[in-house]
Amino acid sequence: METSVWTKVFLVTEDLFNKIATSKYNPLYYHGALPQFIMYVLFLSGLLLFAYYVPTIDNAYVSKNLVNAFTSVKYITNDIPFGAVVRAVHRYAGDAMVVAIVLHMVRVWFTDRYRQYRWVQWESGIVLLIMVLFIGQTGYYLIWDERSLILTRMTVSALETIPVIGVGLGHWFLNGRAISNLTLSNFLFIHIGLSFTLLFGLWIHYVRMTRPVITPPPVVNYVLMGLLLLVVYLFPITATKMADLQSLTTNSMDIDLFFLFPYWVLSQTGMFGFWAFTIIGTLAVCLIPLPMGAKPIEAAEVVNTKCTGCTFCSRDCPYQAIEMVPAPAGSRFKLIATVKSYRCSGCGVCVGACAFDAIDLPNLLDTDVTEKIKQLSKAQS
Amino acid sequence: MAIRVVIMAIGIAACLYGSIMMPWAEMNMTKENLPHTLTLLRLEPVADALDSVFGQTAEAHKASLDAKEAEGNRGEYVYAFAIGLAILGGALAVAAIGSADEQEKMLMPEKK
Ligand code: SF4
Ligand code: SF4
Repeated sequence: METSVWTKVFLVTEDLFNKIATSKYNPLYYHGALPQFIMYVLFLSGLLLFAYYVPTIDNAYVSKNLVNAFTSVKYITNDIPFGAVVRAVHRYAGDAMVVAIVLHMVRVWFTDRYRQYRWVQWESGIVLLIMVLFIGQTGYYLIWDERSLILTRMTVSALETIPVIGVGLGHWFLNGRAISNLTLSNFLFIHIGLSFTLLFGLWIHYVRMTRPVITPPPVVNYVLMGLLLLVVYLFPITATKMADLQSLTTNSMDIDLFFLFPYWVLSQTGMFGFWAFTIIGTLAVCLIPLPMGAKPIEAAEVVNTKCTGCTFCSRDCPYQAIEMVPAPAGSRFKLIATVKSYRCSGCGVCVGACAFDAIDLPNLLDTDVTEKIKQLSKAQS
Repeated sequence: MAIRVVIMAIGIAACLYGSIMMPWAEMNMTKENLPHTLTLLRLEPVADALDSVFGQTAEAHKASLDAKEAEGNRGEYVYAFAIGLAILGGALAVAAIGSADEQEKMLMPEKK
């Protein structure tokens, strides 16, 4: 099979990493597992922040040491030991999550691993990415500074332009007809509720994988943690101003391009451009596997007369494409392997697993596969 | 291999530097706070050297955080830097020379 230019680029990069770190610790081999580790960091740091966060916006008595969302965030930052660091870790781990997911996507795309039976992984991955982006955005609302207020107002106006359900969505978002204490409860609920829903999304993401790699080795995690702490030091949290509901100013604000780029698009292109970008962009990435995945794949085939029902192939198949079913009456064996062709990637693992020559790829003979593996292993040693 | 040895050496140096720097990172460290064992072992010159090097480093970090208008306790950021450097250095050293599984065992089933 032809290797695409991009696959070659990735192979060369992998090789480079293998030269500076042992292959066991090559981060590129864990591109799918990295976001999962970052998720644990986010859960833990988020839990610490949640312990002190107060989701209200009441700011009528600022002078009397009132506790509200903004002042509770300030309290966390200035008075809780390591509060500022935990806050910064939470923020930058979120950014790292987006970067890791996008890298994972790019690599999956360029190494051609999104086609056919893997459409479930591709689509669920996009849903997970959208969820992560929305969770990150709600995190920015929760601080309840001037930027939070601008973002909230921009979101409501964007939602209200949706025909028929837009106004209702706006009210759902604010948890009422206007910004109130209930609004921040809603933001907190979305932020935390959606974060836990990620676990369900991940289950769907993994469902067709026999052995998904979901935890990078500790060393890779430590590298990531070390980098995160250095970023915290290099880009510390800076003070912001409390949101003022009376203010109608739309001051310019810092945009975190990892999470807030939709707002940047909105500010640059207006409502129409924003929705066109969002809808067309999302549809485009969702539909990619359809035309691009049309390359036909010849599924493995079981030679019924030879299969002994030993289950090796079914346990080795990476995509749960082989099911062991009861053997037909009269057979000497109890089970027989059957291939679910819509899940088969034609990878040939089962051909190598079968010691009885009982499973073949239509265009690739068992003997050829064994010969090829022998050649490769000789070339490597 | 040579590049891995270099990375390992840099990693170990960074790990040691970060680890020793940690006590000074929160700004309150002085020579008197160092363990009394150092005096018993007559290692005052080491204590002096550590205190002057890391005391000054911590102050420099603090100044850079002031310039960035960091919110919260500056020392905690410097501590994050020190521990981050130590973790990163240590992990890189392990990744560079840690147990390799490059030579995977490939078992070829004998076909019947
Ligand atoms: S070729 Fe075999 S191992 Fe590979 S996906 Fe198909 S059935 Fe599974
Ligand atoms: S490994 Fe071969 S013999 Fe065993 S169940 Fe699969 S096809 Fe049948």
